[in-house]
Amino acid sequence: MNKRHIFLDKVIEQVKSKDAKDSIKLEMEHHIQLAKEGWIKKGLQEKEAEERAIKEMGSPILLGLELNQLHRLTVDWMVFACTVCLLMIGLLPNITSDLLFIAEKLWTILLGVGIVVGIMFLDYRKCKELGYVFYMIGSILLLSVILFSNITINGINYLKVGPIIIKGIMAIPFFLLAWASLFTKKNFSYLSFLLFFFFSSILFYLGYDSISTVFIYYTMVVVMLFWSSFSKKQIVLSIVTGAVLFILLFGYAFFARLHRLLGFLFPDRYAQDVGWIYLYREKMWASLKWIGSSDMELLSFVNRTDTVFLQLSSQFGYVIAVVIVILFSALIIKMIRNVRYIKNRYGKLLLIGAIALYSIQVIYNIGMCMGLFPIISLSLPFISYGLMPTIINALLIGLVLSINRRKNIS
Amino acid sequence: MEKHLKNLPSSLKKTYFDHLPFTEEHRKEILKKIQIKDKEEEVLLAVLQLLHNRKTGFELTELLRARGFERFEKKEGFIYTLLHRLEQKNIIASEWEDKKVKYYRIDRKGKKLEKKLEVEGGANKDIRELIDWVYVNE
Repeated sequence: MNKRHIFLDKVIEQVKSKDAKDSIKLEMEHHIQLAKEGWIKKGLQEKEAEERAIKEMGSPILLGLELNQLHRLTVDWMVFACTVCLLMIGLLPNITSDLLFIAEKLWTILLGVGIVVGIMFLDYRKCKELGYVFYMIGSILLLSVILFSNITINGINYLKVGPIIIKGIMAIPFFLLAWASLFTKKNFSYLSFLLFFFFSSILFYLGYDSISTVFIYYTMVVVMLFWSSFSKKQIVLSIVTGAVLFILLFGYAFFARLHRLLGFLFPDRYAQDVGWIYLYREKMWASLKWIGSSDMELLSFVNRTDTVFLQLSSQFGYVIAVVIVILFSALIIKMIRNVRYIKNRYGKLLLIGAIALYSIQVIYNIGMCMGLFPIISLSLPFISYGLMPTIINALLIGLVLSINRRKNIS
Repeated sequence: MEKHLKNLPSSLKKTYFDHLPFTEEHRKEILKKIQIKDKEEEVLLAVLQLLHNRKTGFELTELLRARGFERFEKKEGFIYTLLHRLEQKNIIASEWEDKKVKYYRIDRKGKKLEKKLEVEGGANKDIRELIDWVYVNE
């Protein structure tokens, strides 16, 4: 081993981050090589020149220690803490129910935290070249629901394999990984994007998941498009295409949907059928107090866990509503603030997609409970009951932390 | 010069300055003092100015030396802690060429900082804070 490598190894020994080691070594070696050539030109022998070049670099240990501090992998504690708090709030709706129920929820919380931590330690960059693989997994998942679905709940098809229930919404994270990778590929043309996007839309439609699944999927893709390398014109064109597709696919029940929309806009006029839910929601908001009481009448529309925000507000008063909104806002704002520090283009796209996917659920659900949006079936991340949504959202937060952890690596 | 002061320099040389010899030693010391302009903000400003065109760490070291800065003498490696810090603050950006050579270039935020440094020097509070952070541990 020559002197140069002894020096470089000493530097690198101090640096803990494996990813930083390689790039630091490469950069320093380049420097020493050029410095050595300089000394040779000044008349030194090769061996002397290298020794001189290394001596000029300074103490390898001090240098390594300082670089280690700069490149240590960080944990975004704010995001992590908000996530854990929100998961814990998920216990509150069932605080009065039997122990078995609470134990089950606790187990879900532990699993969620475990997934967040586990994914955080994984290097997201390993997924960069796997765009087509993720696209395939997402498609296969949707296809299996289309072809082999064996149960239907509320008009939505599910595939039940043993204890696991597979449904269309689970495919979205795979498409997130797929699009982030494909959008950063050099030879991925606009035409292939349209084709791939069209195909996935058809699958989501055939899987007959709820309209909210497609809505979430579209929002995510549109947000990611703005950070892709496609031109403004192409982005606008894809949004228009997507909207037309959306209307065509879901236009079959146009009048039923229009009726429901009218019920949302003019609840008084449709008080007998579709409007009552909105009137009920209004009445409920009006009766809320700062400190709630446990004997309040519980409201449930669609299903109880989707309106958990309202339920908690009536049980514990406005206080809990304010706490929940603050926690979600802090989480989302912190995630968005992190975006500008990510230098890796793939990481940036992935982060933006994950934030969009997470935030749209939160914003729509809370808005829906407060009466701003029409009611659809959509759960509130981490607080609503349910294993699958918790796993998916834990994956997203884990991904956000993984990207943020490696923000100093380009 | 006024007439009655005409002979002052020569007479001073003979009397007062006779006791104050200006040796080679003195000359060196003064030269050294002129050359040391290693105040943090000056190094930072020079780095930002030099990075208007992309450069490697090695090229930057050479150019800083040519401008008379001695901050990185015998500790050239520490140019990289400075560069990496600036990069993390989005003041400069980097790119790898052929996955072998890393180049640095000033970023938008860096250009703003450069203007501020030129006008206010190290007096500005924000700049002071930044400089303290950039040179932490040194």
